[in-house]
Amino acid sequence: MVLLCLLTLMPGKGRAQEAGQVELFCGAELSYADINYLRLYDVLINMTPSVKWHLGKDWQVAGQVFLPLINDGYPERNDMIRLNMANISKELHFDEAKQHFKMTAGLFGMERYGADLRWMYPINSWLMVHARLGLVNHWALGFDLHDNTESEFDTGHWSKFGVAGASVWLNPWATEFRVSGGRYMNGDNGLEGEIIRHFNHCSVSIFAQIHERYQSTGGSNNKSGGFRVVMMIPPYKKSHEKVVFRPATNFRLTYNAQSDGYSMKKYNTDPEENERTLPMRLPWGTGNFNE
Amino acid sequence: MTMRRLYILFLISLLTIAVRAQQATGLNGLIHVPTADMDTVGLARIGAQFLPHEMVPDKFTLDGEKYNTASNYLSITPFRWIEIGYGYTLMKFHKNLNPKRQTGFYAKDRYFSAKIQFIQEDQWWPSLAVGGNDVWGTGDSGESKSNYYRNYFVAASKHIDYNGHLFGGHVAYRDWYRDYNHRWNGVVGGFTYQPSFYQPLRAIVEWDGNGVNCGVDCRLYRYFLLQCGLFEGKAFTCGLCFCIQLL
Repeated sequence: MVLLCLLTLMPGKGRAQEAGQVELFCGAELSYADINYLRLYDVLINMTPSVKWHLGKDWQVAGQVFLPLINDGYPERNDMIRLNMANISKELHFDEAKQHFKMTAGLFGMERYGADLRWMYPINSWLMVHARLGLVNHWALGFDLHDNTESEFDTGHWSKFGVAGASVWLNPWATEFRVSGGRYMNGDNGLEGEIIRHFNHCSVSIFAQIHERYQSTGGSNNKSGGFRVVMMIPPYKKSHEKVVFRPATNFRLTYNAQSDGYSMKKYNTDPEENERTLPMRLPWGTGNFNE
Repeated sequence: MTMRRLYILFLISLLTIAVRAQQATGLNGLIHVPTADMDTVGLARIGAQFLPHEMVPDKFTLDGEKYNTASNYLSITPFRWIEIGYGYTLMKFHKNLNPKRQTGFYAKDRYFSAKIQFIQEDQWWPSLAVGGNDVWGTGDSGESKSNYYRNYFVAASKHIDYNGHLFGGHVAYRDWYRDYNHRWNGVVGGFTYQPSFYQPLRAIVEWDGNGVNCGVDCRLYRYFLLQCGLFEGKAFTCGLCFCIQLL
């Protein structure tokens, strides 16, 4: 937060949305798990009414509430209407040096709060390196933190998060290769590779993961893989109205073959965060798409 | 006149995207036999197929008896030369594995499929492709020891247009991993026919290594593909697939 306050003194170009614009939108979050012989899938669907307030000069305030819609098999605590995200962010763009930063502080997704810094360096039109650092703690309103067995709720300790990687963009095929690795949530160290085929308004990827903290999950696999689908939802073009009501920009689906709900997890800092849209609006890769 | 134009437009819309068939796995093929045909680039399928017990591996048993089931799948053709798919077949169990409790579809056998076409069909040459189902998994070293559907194939397909009638010949060599599927091993193949007056419709006759299957599939209203067939001449199978063009 101190760093964010200092950033108010720095000039910003304001490349994102128009200053003062408020976006109100709603999407849906689907979680599913195949872990027992009681039903085909445990299913959890939340509606996600959200807000983004663009303050100008690349400042943004974001918030998101979870409205549980369907809970078949997930713990009862997920039935609660709750605040999932409330944070403030600032982007910094040093275009001549090709250095781009985004700082976020507040409540993130995945029941974490803290500070997050992202860095993106598009070296050329096909190669970009990026990194992300975070310092986070648990935050879950009204949950029984101590008796919960699904995660390591420990409000007494701040945990470090750091992931770095590179992306290669093959323009003729609208295909992207990503490699990233580092320290994820829950103290899990891992490495991930992903191939993403970007279509007009949809991205489909396959990924492979290797991580080390498999003992704590009770499973025997520290390797996993799966696929992701990110469907963009119309209208695809940004509105210039002062107040915008719209659906969420995207719907995501992830299939992870060996997912334990615990390994190689990343928190979100944006209510519409996804693997297709870059965290910052840069003219690189999918950033050139008119979405 | 307007109605006639609308009808022509409707027919054109049916023909816009080339989807030839569906398999239980979601990849382009016949009924139970793979082909070297590929979907158009960017085509994604979401579908389901009813599978009679004759059509599934012998591992799909409950209390010693095989059962009818269904598969669901999601597949895509990201590039002209590759199709990949994820699917699962519903498995029947006693609830919570307690033999005293009711039975139902409480689990599934999941698998990935892939097909790569390395020679595209032209005027003289057939298309040639290699692929497999259940190509990735822990197999015997994993907890489930499944790979019920694991098989690999090399396939060739050739189509001949005769006055608008499209005849297709398909042949493949297929090797199944599990002993209980070996009845489907070896040379398999089939013939297809798409009439000139309605090419979204396709008739299929195939040999899957153990028996003759026949059926039809038809592209409906641009987004749907329906397939019905008789497996080994006696067991009914059918599937419906939702097709989305992402490009």
